[in-house]
Amino acid sequence: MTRAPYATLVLTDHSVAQGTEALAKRLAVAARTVIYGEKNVAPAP
Amino acid sequence: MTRAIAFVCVSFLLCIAQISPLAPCLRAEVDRRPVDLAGFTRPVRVACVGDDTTWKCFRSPGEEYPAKLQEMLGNKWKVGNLGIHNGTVINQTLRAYAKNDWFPRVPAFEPDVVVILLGGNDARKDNWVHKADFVKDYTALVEKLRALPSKPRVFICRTLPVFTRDPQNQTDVDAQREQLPLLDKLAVDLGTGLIDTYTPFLGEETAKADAQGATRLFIGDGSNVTAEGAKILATEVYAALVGKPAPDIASLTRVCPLFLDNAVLPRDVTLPVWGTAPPGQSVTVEFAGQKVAAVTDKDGCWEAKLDPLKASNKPAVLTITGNGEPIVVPGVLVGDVFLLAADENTAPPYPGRAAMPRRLQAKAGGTTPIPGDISKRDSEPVRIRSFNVKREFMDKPARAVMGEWNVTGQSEPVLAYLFANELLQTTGVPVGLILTGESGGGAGRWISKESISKPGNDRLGDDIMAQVYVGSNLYNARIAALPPFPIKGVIWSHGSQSGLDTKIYEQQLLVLMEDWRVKWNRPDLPFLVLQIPPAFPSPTSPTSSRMSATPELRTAQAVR
Repeated sequence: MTRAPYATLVLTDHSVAQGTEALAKRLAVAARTVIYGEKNVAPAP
Repeated sequence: MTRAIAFVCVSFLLCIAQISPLAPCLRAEVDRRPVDLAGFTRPVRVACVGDDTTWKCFRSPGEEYPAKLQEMLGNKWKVGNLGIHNGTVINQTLRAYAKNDWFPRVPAFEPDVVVILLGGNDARKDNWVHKADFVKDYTALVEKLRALPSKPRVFICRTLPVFTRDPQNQTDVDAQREQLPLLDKLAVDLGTGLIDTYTPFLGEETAKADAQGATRLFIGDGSNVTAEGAKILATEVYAALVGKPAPDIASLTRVCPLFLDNAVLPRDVTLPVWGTAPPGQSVTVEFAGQKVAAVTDKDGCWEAKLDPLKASNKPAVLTITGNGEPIVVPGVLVGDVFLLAADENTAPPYPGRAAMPRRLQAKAGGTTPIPGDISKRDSEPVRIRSFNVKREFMDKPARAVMGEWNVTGQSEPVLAYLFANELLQTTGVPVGLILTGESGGGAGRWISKESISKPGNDRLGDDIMAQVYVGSNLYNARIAALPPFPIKGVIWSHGSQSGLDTKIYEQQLLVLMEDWRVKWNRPDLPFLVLQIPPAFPSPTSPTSSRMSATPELRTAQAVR
């Protein structure tokens, strides 16, 4: 996950490309971190 | 003696025919009863089965007759548009409704009432050669519908008059003259309702037309009705269903669909609630102990503001009172609402598609338990809900939101559902997903025309694959009417057809974000951009759009 002035990019790789559930977890982690402002959110796989 | 017994038997049968609920089946007459709302504990579900006249209102998306009928009937009814392109009755034709792939949408809708408006395409010269099958196939269609588990009542509509001003129109006037009495007799023989959608359209043949050949009620080629024509169709159907003349829509108090049944309302923000009513009309909105008021402006729009609401997992009732009967909205939760765009990962399903859990289970080989909220006890409310924005394309911004709330497990794309489920597990509050996505299409289609028209942005409306201007048509139909509904953030998932020109795509994303932030009046509106997965050769689809996900494009998505 990288943060830019305009938005947050939720990164993908080959493993994520093949796993919808993993992708959803990454999105949720991004939302909790960036939108909800939670600290120390465990990274998604 | 024998005569006496026969007399008693006939008398008994006649008596049964008068009082039995099966009466319409037994007696050879049209069923003229309106639908009795007293027998329903949920909205009465009306399936509009038909052809293009039902499916689309080509010059005015969102104005098709089922949509108008829904506006007239209000939220005690649920109207489904189940029209199909070129739909017919006769099974030997190419698009026979009963045999069409879309037919399963009808049982999936669980209709209490079915309104059939078919026959226009059967009257085409090439289809009417099979006219001997018309009554047989129409009867079979009605019986097939009546046999659905929901046992709907059926109403037959008379076909519209043929509008032959365009020489390309293939409809056979003589065929329709033959067809009308057949429809009238079918309604009698089958004991269905009969709706006269023929007579109100008479006279258009000689009516004044515009430059495109359209009259007040028909578009130029005669293949469909105008918005005004659709309204007349809705008026006739309303009268048959309700047993009273249809009201003028402008005289009704109505609320935006974002605030209707099963809504998730945003928490912790001042919440505008809006709708339409006659100018000057006072409207009150009551929810969670608050009662707020608004006065309708000269354009027929009202907006009331609720103070910030606390998150709530307990379904509550929202009540809107203007003129006429109050609008009572059940099942409303309070939580976090996200807007999702722009690809199939974020798209509302087409009606009748298999429910998400089934698709997920099938994908997992049918054995993996579905994670999350939906596996809990039935007595608890479903807390992940989607607002399915209607899959429409428009040349001009929509003035009203088109869509409806659905509870989870019925419709969400898997990624959207799993994302919501992950959040629900940690926040414990309901999640609403506004689904707007579409298969394919460049980012320029999601930017407003005002932004594309700014200096330097002139190429952003092009569809990069097609090299033609298609700008704003998805923004117009699916985004334009949503603000100022408060959203927690935007999930942008967009993996297709945009990747050929990295610089343009990056600029499109930048302009789009600024555009939407202006529309929502939120300079800090968060966007989570889902990176397009890396390019990898697909053994099954070598031309897959993922092949366009170059490292440059993936990097450009960071919009630095």
